[in-house]
Amino acid sequence: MRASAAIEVRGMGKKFCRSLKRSALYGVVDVARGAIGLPLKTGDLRRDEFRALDGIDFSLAAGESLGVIGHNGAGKSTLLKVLSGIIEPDRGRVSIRGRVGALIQLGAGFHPQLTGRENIYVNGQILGMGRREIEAKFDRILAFAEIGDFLDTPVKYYSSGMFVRLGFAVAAHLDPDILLVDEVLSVGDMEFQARCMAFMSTLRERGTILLFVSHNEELVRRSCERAMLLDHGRCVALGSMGEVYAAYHRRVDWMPPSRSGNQRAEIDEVQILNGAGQPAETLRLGETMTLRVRVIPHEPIENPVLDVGFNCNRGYVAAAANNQDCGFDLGPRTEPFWIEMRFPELNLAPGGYRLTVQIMGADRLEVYDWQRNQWPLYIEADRYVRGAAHLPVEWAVRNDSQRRTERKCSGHESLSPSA
Amino acid sequence: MSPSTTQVEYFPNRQQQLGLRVWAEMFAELRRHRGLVWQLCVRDVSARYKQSVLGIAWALLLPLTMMLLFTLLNRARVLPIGPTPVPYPLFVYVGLLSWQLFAKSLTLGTQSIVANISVLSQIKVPGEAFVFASLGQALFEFLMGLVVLSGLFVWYGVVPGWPVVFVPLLLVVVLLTAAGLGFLLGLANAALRDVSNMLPMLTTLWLFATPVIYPVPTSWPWCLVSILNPLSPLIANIRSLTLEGRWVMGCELAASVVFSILTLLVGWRLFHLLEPKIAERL
Repeated sequence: MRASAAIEVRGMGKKFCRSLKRSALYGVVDVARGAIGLPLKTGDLRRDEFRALDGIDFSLAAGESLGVIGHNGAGKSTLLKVLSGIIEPDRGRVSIRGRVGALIQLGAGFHPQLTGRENIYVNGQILGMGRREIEAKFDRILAFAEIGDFLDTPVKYYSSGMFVRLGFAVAAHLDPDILLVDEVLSVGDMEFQARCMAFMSTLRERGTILLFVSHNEELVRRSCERAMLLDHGRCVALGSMGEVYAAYHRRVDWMPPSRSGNQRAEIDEVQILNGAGQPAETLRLGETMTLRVRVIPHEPIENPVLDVGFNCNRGYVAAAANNQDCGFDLGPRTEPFWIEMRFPELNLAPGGYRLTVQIMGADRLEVYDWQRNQWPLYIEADRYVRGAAHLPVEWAVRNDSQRRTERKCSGHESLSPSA
Repeated sequence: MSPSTTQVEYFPNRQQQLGLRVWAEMFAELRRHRGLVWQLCVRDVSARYKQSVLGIAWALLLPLTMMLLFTLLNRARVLPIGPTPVPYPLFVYVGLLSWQLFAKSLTLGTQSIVANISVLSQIKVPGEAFVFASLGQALFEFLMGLVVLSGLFVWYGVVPGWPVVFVPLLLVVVLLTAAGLGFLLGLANAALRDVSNMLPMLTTLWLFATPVIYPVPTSWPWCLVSILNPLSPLIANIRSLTLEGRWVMGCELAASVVFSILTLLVGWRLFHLLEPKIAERL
């Protein structure tokens, strides 16, 4: 069966309704129209309706894997629910070949009063296993869940970690041809996550199709070959990890620009130049970047301090530069001037950043102009870089018996052919 | 290879386009999930009695108290019932026990959809399984009630005649009626929670509109009770077959059976059709 497992989605769309009352009404109307053979009016949106999914097209063959990423509410979970057959699409066509296992919510169907053992049987059957199948797999499920002495304890006394482990263990042993995973691993601890990832990779080796929804870039990159980016129900990028994540980082836009300061001096212009000296928003990892800042002093100022911060859209300040810390004095300034900063290797991790530029007095207490999150900057790379930055590193290897190094490599060229 | 590994297609209005083939699909699905239905029965029954001291005794207590209550009201002439063919406690107990089977199935079946909504909206599982499983829970309580009934038979020295073998058939009809109505009310309950608030009132009123605590009325207008109420011939026959060994209300009974099957088919079909809509809206 597995060799022929396949998912094919063509022009699939799904509308939802924000209002509960209207949604019941529309549901009845749709069913009634369908029953008497009238076509559904899928083209237009009725009041309070929105498209949770729209025009989704993709197909996966045995052994392929797809990471589904996007903001909350982009339609990721809806997509998994349609694929598993829980909800019906109202446009297009979905065809599925093979047994589908969906890890949408672990432990859905667990009864708090019942013991772990009883719940394994109930949950296994809800997921579609037969009693004999569960009996045959019982020991493996138990070993995976690691609930130990709690097997015969009601699951309401389980820690949330145990609950999730048991849920995953049952669902994972369904032995599906197609596995749909929706952000369920984030609940467990790191060891559990690692075991789940290992389990999913063994399933993949056996030809299982994997659809993986997660906000964790590292997990998605490690477990999938390709990715799909959803935005408000539409597929806006589908392809290699590098491409899709670059598109994703551009859409993470939660850092609002703001400005304050007493305006004794004003930051007039900021230019970001790439390695070729051209203005750019997107740079390759490791590329040379030049930053030019034009400042207009409205009053004479003495030794102002320019501070540049790289705010990452993952929620931290990735780096900052400050002329005073570098021992570079700007001196007395009365007329507009340009400051140029050159970063020979911009080694920030691929992602979206916003520059915060600040000009202040020599005491760093008087802020003349502070423009936060004003200038976007995107770093791209073909491969995943773990952590906040890529440190240039030189590698060498030699045997105990050797006196001289055998092979050396700076390991950096592969990352970025500077333009 | 289980049938779930074959190819499936999802597209708008899928069920309507399948036409009558959808019935084959529904029966196949139910057959495939019969293990689940059983497991859910066991789950509900064992979870229900797990955290109580009296445990299964609770299943006996409700019809027993009701029997004592109505017997008392009858004796005290608050609710005088007239002559019955067997001692009144036995008469009312058989009625109550079979009524309870219906009322319990209906209540649990109606509530089962909303009670298991977290499963229905997260896992692809036929919701029918939950409705049919709640019949099992009601049936379990009924079987427990038979223990008390056999005690009453011994006490009053009544031996049921051979026609009692037809009673299980009637019980099936009662269960199917409850399932059909449970599907319909369960759907309504998923849309409007008012239904589950209304349910105790409905079953109580319906109890008094059915010849459970009194014999089948013959005088106008009370005989309407037995003509318009599809439960009347069922309960009346269960009781008369058990206690007197004879059939009553032949035409009405046939109408009841037809009603029961129609309700089940309509309810099940509608439920099957609307289930994905429930899953997406709750």
